[in-house]
Amino acid sequence: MIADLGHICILLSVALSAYSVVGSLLGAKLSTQQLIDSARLGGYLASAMLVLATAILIAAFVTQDFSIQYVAENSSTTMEPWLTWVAFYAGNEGSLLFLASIFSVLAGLAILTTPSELTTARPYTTAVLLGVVLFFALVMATLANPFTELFPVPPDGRGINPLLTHPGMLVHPPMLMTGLIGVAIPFAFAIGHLLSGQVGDEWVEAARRWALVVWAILTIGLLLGSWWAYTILGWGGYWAWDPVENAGLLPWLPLTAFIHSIMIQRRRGMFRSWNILLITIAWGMAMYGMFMNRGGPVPSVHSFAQSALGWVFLLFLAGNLLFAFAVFFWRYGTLRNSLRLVSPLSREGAFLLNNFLFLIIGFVTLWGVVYPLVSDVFQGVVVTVGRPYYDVVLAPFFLGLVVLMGIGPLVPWRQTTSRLLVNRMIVPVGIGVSVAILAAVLGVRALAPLLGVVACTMALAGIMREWVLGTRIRVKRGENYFMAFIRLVMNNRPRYGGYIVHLGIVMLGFSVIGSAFYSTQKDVTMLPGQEVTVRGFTIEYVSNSTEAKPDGIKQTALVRAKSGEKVLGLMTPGYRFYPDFSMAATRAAIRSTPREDLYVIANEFSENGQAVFRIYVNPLVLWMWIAGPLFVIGTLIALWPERVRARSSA
Amino acid sequence: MLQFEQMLKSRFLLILVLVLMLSCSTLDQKQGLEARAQQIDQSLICPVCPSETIDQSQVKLASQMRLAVREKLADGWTEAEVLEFFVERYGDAVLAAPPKRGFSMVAWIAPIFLAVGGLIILVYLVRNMVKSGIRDGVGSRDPHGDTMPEDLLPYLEKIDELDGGIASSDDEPIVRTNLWFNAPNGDRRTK
Repeated sequence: MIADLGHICILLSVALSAYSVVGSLLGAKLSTQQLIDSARLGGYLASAMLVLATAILIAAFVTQDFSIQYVAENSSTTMEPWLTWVAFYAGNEGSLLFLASIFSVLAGLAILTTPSELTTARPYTTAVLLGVVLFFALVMATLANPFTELFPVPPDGRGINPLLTHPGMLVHPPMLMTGLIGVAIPFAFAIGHLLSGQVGDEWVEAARRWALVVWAILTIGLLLGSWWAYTILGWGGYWAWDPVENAGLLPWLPLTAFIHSIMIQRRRGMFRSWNILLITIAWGMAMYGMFMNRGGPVPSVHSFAQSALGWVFLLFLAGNLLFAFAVFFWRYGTLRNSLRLVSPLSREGAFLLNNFLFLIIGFVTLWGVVYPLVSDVFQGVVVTVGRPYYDVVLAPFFLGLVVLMGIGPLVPWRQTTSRLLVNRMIVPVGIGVSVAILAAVLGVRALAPLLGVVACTMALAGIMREWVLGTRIRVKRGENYFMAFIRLVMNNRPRYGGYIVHLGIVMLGFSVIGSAFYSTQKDVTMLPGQEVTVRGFTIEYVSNSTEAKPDGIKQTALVRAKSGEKVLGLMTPGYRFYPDFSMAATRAAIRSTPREDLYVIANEFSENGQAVFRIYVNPLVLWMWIAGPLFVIGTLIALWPERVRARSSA
Repeated sequence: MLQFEQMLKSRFLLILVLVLMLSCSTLDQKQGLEARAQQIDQSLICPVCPSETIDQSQVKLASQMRLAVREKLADGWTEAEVLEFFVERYGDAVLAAPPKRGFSMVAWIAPIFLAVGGLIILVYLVRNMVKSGIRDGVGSRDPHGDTMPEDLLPYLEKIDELDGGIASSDDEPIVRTNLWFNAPNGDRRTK
């Protein structure tokens, strides 16, 4: 009964979104305002139907209605209630429903808040957005119905995948999914504008704003994923260049390039065709990311056989790209730049270089992701492309990006002389170099981390230079330092919001350098009462306890951490085994300070209490999580609407 | 000249730091058997649990392999020999990155081609953008676009300063420069 209701909602959303696509296009073609308006209304209703379907599925979880196959496969009577939300998107069908409904809501908001300059383009944007909704609704109506019924009704469900029982899972997957599919919104503004045949940059502001929102969501999603991996996967790391992680990173790279280069179009009317290409690439990568998570984590020949879903997503991807490029070439004539590039040695040139580096990193990562498939086809061996590969291949480009982040903002617009540039760079470069010398004296002896430190310090000094100089100018005019700084940021929000995000990136950079090059790892087997010393920390194994949980066994070690003679406190690394899934999960005990993390995991408990411990000392990891809020604050400042100013003359 | 001196100084610092870093990097060899072993652990995929390295994996086979790595290193094997030993037993799939030989060289070379190809496209794009579009004020004074009259420097500095510090909008100063230099009225954006 409840299943039928859910299924009807999905069928209705198919019909409504199809109507919205056709109606918008037809209405725009015939210039019939009523048709355009009713098609838009159809879009909102499609969104409402999907939200209703979501509510029904969640209600089914809450009432433990195991007559619905999806509920039976992803939850059980013993599941803790707070996990209901996680269980909702733990499987294929539910995550599709989540993608469809969150996207339809965002798309509805984007259509609703479209600025009046874009009225001509709005029906086309609506058609593109609802086209995406239609695709997901159709997939659920045919291939992956979340409301498929089971008969006979099982007494209990299978339960939730134990690796997902982590607070991070409440937020990380929805953020990541929203971030992936959200890329379609700036894409729709770009393509809608092109389709309408309007000449100009009216779409830029709306697309930029949505791109920033989506960027922040995706970034936080990625960070939360790292945090989850760090605390639960039990290998002391946060990023493994796993194909599933790469799925989230792939669109992030061109999207980041886009939110930079769109600024040039906003200010100077340049890079018009380039920006359309960038957002198309970003959407392509986002679709590829979603496709990877449907057709199995590694796109191999075998994962296609498992479900038709992979193929359908691949077709959708190809269709979208073909469509976008067709529109692009059709309307190429409207994309001429209004200003020419005066000199490559300019802010514009720096932005182009930024785009180049982001795209190279993106395509190299994509190559790493598809290479196992290439290798399988050509030499019959599925090789792994993991961290040792990406570390070597991508490091130079990332280093280049950080350096550019430091000097890019110092390069004047239009053109410059090398003398002016040297003048401006001398302080940041000098500081970067001095810190590197200091680091070398203090014992940093390898080239890679030293280069990283120079780049990050330079970037930091570059940001500080902008802040200090800008504030000082205002102070000279009689403001106090605090107000001067606040007004400086508030008067050019895109720029100074961006700098706050850059500050977060610098923190991230230092954190990566510290943990990648200077972490210490020790494996040790101990009996209760024994202790081990790792880099100044002493870990004493006090006792252990075993607890029977409804879904498995939970073993916990109690250890006392000491730094020298000073007792830091007790830590409880845990280990759980889930027989239903024949899966084990460690729960690391982490003691974080700004300087370093003490990270302890325990497993292989024996009868006599003996356990195997792995202890890491990971420097600077905490800064990675501190960067997260900075990303959000910076993005909010950058997209906060500026006051409408009265223009003296038009 | 002061600015020239500053430039020299920065170059000098750069050279100094490069020399320093190069000399440092030769000193740095990951020391200790355990550290070398951990490096190898991170380059080997556990054969029974795909996409996890033997360093990450907690299954029995992974810990046996970790032990084997340490034994072989203690016997004086080199890193390459240890890796080769596992490749002989489990094939190329045991490596966490494609081997740098045979067909798999493609995996390593492709990024270089991508970067070079991308660079060529970038240069083409830049040249195209320098040619097309309307010249704005500054450029129209100088047909070649790569040098700038000295007397403009303080003026442009001032504009950028205003742009970053005081000005309430981030595009208006640019539009004004257009007007002051009597650029052709072609900027559609400002209509």
